[in-house]
Amino acid sequence: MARDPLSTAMSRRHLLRSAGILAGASVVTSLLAACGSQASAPAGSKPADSKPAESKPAAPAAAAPTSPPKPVVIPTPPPQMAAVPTTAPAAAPAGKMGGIFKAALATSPPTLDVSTTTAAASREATLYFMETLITYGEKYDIVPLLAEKWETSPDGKRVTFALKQGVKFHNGKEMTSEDVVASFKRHLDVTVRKSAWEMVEGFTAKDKHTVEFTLKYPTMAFLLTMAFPGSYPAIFPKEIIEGKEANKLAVEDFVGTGPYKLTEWKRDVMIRLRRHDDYHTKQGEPNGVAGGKMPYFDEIQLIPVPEEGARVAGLEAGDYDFAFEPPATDYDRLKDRKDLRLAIVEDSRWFPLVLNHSKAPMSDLKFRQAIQAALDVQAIGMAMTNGKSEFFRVQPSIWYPVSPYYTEAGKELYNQKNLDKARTLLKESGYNGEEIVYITNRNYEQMYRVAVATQDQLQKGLGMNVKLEVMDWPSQTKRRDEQPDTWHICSTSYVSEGLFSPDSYSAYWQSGNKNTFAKIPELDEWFKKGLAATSMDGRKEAFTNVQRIFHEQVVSVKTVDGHSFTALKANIQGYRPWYNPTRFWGCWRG
Amino acid sequence: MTVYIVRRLLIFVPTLFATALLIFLMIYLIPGDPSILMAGQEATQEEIQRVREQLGLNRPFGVRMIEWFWQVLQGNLGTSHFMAMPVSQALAERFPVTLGLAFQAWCISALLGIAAGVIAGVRHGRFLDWGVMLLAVLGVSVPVFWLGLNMIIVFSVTLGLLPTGGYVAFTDSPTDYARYMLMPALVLGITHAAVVARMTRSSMIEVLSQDFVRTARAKGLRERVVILRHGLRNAMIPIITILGIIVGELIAGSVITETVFNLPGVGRLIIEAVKRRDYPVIQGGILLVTVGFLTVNLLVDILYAWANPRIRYG
Repeated sequence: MARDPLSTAMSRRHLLRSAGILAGASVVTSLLAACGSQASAPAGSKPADSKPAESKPAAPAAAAPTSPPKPVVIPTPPPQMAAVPTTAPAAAPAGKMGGIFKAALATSPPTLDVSTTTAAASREATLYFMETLITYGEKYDIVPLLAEKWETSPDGKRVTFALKQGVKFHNGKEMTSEDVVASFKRHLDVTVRKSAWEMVEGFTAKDKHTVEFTLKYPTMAFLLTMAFPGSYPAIFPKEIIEGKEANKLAVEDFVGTGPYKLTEWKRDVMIRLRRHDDYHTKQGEPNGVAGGKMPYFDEIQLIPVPEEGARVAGLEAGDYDFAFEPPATDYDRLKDRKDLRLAIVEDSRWFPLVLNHSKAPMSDLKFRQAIQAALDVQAIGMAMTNGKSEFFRVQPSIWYPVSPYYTEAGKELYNQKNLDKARTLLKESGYNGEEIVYITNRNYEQMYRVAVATQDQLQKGLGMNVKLEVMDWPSQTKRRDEQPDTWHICSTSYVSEGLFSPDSYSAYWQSGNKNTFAKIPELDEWFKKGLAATSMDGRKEAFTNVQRIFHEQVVSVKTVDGHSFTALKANIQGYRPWYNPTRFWGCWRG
Repeated sequence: MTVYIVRRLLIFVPTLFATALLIFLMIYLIPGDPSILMAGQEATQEEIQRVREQLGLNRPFGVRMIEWFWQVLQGNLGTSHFMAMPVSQALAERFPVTLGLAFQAWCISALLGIAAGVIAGVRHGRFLDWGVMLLAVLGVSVPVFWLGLNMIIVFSVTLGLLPTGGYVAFTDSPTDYARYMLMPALVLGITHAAVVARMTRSSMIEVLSQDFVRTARAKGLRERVVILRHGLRNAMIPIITILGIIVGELIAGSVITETVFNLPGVGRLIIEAVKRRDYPVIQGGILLVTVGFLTVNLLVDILYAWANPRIRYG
């Protein structure tokens, strides 16, 4: 750049330029000011219409004339929930009302219109303000929520729900059968799980507090679908929900019956919930999504903090009261802190190797058996968790021990670590060093780690030529579904399937599926029997056989169950770790 | 001058159009679509397909592209798949955050960078120069997220002075706004200050070796006057250029800072949108950033032409 050495001449030009920059800066400033005034709702604290933390001890017990929930249909009590370090005392405690609770969550829900998604983040956020007729209890059994009880006709084709009386929506209106019918109509229009409701023929309001469903054929699956928390049928007031299209609900449309009401949703910033003073069931023990749900806090803020390091730092610095799934590597460090309490949440997910049956050599049973025989599941778990055995479990069932469907069928084929057998099988399959493509992602770090450990075992132990292809989750899903000729093994994790919805597995394993592309007639039979069963015993028998065939035919290969951990401030009382939602009702600041 | 500005403005339009086309094509080359994330991790194919239909993503690529361009020409950026709100509204909510961050970071990098550069230039070849330049190289090289997380550990977790992240609008509470913005602005500012410092230093060294500086010293001016009035003033032109370039970079490059400090700005909005394949938001967001970048460039060019006739008539 040429420059005039004479400073007198320079100063004019220089002045001009400085002025230009100043002008540029002031444009930025004024733009900033203009935009700043547009930004309306603040993310900071806004006390809204809160009443001061007046102590309203758990007195107005019989506000809603609710009789104790009827016992559940499921006959055999499932095994005890695995021991978790829980902060909740056994007896119903009298907590302290008031305060603001801030929870740092990992993701922002894609939508709050739960009918249109099965995303866990949506369920996590909405279950504070929306409720269903029936739901899942602590041990993943079916329990009533807005229904007081239900009755199935002798032929099993009519199910009648008696609604709880005196239940108030957030807008003060009483919930009646009209609202339930309107909500179901809309749900069936927009739900992404349409085929799960295929057995429903119709439903009508019998009287103000009774709704009757007629089914095309008798099946237990009806109640299970009704209680299923993914894409669940939330009950809205009729006048709000009628005719609403999918994902066209505004914040003020989320008028539910839950213990908290939605007052603000700033996407990617915060979901603000205020106490619903007229909540219908405040007393009693929490029981899964049902039971006593005392809203102790005046306000709950659900804050998405995607960066896990920032989540932990915020908890340590006191910006948040709760951090969802901090990095496992922080466990030991956080464990020693007096002001924090950690809880391991079991039964969070399990990790399969999804095998592509439509592509050679994976189409050969012997080849699949070779992979199954070779794997050392314990080692995969250690690799997945950085050597922390607290964070995974090695067990053969495709259901968690807490699930009513848990069985050990086919367990001799799980975690064999038998390299000699594997090599023999591999030889018999005629495998000749072809490249095996394993697609995985890093959105879910644990899936990636399982994939790396598996690749290592297959390569070193069997000399298999396994190529890992890493992409992001949407790309991987698209490729899995639409380009089955380009992969052999695929990463995923199963979440609620292992707890309470065994039928969901059929979407991945039944003939005609576009996931494993498996075609195993015997498996199809048992899925059908499971779906058609009218008793829990019938269902259990069917799904025990599903698991047996899963292992025998190596539909996919099971690796470990993964646990997660959560961390919260030690002064928060009443928290009980559970799968989903995290449940901050019944919690208070001690 | 008017001819020059008109000419520049005419180039502006096709540049924008070409960028928009590129954005659209690139986004559709990424595999996966929003329905997969929207439907949830456990969703079956049937469920994903239903979401796809609800979002209108089952329609042919060409149709969607023409539709989008037609909308944009009418000033409508479309509706977000995930947020169920107009993209323009989502951007309007986020843009003040990004602009505020960029402005403060710009001030920090200008002040820090020029000061450090002048010191290094004056002490050219001495210990202080080496020290400052070592810091500048570190500043350019250190990843923003690393610096950000470490500052959080020191200032928030250990000392408890500042919040770890989040945002309060200036209009709600100016003091809280400052508390929440200080660390992100520092992190972003420091990393860019390094660039300014290096430019200032070399420019200062060049100017200070000129004859007129020797003359100034010879006529007995104080050293402070020589450096600031004669040296720095004449060294400003390349510094001004770099400060102009940085404005664009700060607006477009605040993504990581916004993620680390959980600031709801445009950068984070775009990143989240990419992860979710929220096409309208990605397109609208990048378009906005492009317009911002091009506008800043245009302004810098016009200022330049105004100040330097050789460019205007060249």
